[in-house]
Amino acid sequence: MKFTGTHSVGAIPDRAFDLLTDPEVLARCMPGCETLEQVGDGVYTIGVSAGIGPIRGKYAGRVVLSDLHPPERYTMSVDIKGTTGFVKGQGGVALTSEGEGTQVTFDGDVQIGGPLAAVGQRLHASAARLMTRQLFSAIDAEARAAP
Amino acid sequence: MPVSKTVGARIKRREDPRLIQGLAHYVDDIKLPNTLHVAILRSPYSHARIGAIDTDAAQNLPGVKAVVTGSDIKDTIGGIPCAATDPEGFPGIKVPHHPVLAIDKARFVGEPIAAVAATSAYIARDALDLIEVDYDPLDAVNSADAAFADGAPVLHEDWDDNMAFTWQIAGGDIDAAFAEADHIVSQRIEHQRLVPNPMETRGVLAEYMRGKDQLTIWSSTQIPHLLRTQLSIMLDMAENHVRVIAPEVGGGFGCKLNVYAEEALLGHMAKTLGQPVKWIEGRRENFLHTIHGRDQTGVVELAVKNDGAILGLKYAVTADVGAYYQLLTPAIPTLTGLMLCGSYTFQNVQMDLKAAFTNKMATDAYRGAGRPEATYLIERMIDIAAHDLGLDPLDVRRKNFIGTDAFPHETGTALAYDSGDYTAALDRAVEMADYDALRWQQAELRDQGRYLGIGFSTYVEICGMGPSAAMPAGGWESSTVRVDPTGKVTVLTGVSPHGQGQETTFAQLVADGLGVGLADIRIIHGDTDAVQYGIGTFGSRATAVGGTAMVHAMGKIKDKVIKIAAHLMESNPQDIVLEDDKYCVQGAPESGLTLAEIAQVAHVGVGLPPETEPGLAESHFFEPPNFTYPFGTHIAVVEVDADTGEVELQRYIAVDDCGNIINPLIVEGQVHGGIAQGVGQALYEEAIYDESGQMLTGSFMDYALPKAHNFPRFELGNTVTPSPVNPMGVKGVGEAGTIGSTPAIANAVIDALKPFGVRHIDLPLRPEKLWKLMQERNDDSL
Repeated sequence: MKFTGTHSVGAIPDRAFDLLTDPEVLARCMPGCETLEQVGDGVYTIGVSAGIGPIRGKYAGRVVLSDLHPPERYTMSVDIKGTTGFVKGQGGVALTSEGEGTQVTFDGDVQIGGPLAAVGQRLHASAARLMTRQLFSAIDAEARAAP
Repeated sequence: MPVSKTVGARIKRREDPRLIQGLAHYVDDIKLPNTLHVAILRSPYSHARIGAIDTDAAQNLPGVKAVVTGSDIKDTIGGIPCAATDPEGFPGIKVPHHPVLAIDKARFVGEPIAAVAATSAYIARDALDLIEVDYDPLDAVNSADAAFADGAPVLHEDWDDNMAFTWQIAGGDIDAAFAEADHIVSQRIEHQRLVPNPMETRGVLAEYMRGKDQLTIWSSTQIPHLLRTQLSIMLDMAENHVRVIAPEVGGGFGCKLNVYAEEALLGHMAKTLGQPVKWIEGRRENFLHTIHGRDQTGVVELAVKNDGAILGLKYAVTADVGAYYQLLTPAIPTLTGLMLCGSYTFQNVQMDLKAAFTNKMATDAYRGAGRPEATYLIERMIDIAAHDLGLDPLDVRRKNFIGTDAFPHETGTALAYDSGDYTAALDRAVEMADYDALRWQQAELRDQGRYLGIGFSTYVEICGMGPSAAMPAGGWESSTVRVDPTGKVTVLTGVSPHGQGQETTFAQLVADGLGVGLADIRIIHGDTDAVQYGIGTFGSRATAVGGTAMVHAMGKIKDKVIKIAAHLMESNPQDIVLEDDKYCVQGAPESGLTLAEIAQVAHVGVGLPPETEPGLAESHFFEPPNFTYPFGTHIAVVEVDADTGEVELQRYIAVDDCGNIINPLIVEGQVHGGIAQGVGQALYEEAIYDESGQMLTGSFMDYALPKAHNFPRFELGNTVTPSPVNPMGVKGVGEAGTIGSTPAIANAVIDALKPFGVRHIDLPLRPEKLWKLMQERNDDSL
């Protein structure tokens, strides 16, 4: 599944970049994120609890942030799996200055498998949109809060 | 066959009271003390190497008794069998080992990886979550085209490509036919992958009695005896120590004409654990790991003359058969090849089949099994030819029909059609539909921008499977008829009904044949310890083959009964007749004897004629000399909504000829169900795997089965052309509705969209597909 989108963050690109790549911020902002621990340079283990339609479950795996070019772009890959399936994706994240804030654009490919694919597929795109909107509005709220 | 007391009458099914009152016993209703419940861990990947499997946490979950992986059983359970791998029939066929639990590599989503037995079904399910499997995902092959592409990932690495097998059939002189043609009509046609979806999913209960070394398997199967043989081989047990019981079975449609991993696995687990084990398939498991149907894509070329005469047909096709073979996988598309000539006279025919291994569940027999593909493509091609030549599709059919006086008719594919009167069925359907009025109505509505379509399907199909020489695993059938000392009749039949109503139709035959009441007759099936070996129920064979075996066994009983009656009445056997349920000298029923009275003598053993064995039980094994060939005409009337693309099925007329009819009510029921499934293929159903081999239509949310409100009241009629193949003159009707209906609906929808220049659309004809077409093109007539 192609996975693209654009969101606004109420901070200049330097700060937006820091927020987006800060594991503590991500752990707070990512919907369903239960644990996020750094295990290497740009490598994090993650535990997520999420549901799409009737398929709810816990997923664990790793997130890798690479090719970091602050404050312009980086690459993010996710590889998590759980009892109800797996999610594997990779994509580029680009930040551009937009007035007082930053426009964040991502463009990636996501592969979903297991029961999650067999049962929830019609809901994937809308669920992914919903979760990224939640993520970015939480990051936006962090950005607008006092640093 | 004359209509007598019960044969030919609309008798309600004797099975139904227990079914509708919830009194039937399916596998899951059978409770044995101390039973462990099994859950199966299935691959979430379509193609992956399997590394270490860590089962420790699962083993340690309280309540878990055992966790089994592929490496635990690879030397103790043999591979899942396929009966259609003869290299003479399929030159160069690749036959991969099909393990019960995957070893080293998973090849489709849903493939069994490990099994847990626990004290409750919930604990077993929870334990699956604790099994850690180290998968290394590989690129997937999700279509036949992808399988044959250069550099495609290879599923079975014993070979260097994904070509599973090839098959060819040719008859007549195809080149001459194409040289002589005025037009070559060509079309690429898809037969989408379908999920059979019986109401009851599969399920297995296994019990092992160590003292007797006896394994009993209850399975929701169509073939208890064939399953017993295969399980004895897979589990390396003496066949007479294995008992298979098919209890009440809630539909099969071919998908339970098979031997599945779970059947052998549970047998093994019952044996090693010393406790009964039960597994009931969930609906999601059923979507992933019970066989699928159809999935052929090919190019059809029809050689025709300007007047619509068909000279020949060529079909170059690929079949996407999935990752492994199940019991009959390679045989299914060969039935398409055999039936390519349809109801028509042309003899020049050729089919070239290439079958591909892909990262999907295996295809196998699904209601119609290969024949729906043949009927769909020939019936579609006739409509396309009529469209291209500017002829009425009805006229093209009439012109090419095999004549009523031409039977037995040998086809270009070397089949011998037994009997038929195709024009009579067509005339009857046309009259019921009032065809001319429909065309008027269609023209009027088109002027108003409304799109009515009329579609025909004039099918012929193969039933009564079949002569053993033409079958992968025997085509005969067996029956034992026993008369108890009190005159009650018990029939043991080798067929295994699961919705077809033989407990009623067979009892009707016995009631009339032996002169007993229906209530005094019991039909026993599906228990290999009770019933002599049989083949099972599939291919619309149960009545034509199994019923005939019973009629012959009953004939032997009747001969003996008459011999005893004659002796008791000091008469000659040739003077004894059955009249008003009495065996008597003709014209004197008041002095005759009932079956019960004669049965008592037979069992007491005193007063029998000389050289007569006591007792009253006879068996017969019937080998049919040929298949039977039912036929008919179906007409669909649809309206396509220009605003939404939705198809409204307004009328459905079906005239089927299945030979003589034992019970019209049951025949109609079979036709109703068949039409429903054929409409499903035409309008709604499609099993879709994405590029990575994930099945996207894995539940009823995404796999659309038709519902009652999608159907009009079916208008059924029939003609009767008895079959010469069996003494009852019956043909079979289990699959006719499915085979006939899909092309009728497709032809009707495409006829409705004729003003848009539409010549062909692949199935299923979902609203969004039709709406897009209607948006892209203009109605030229407006």
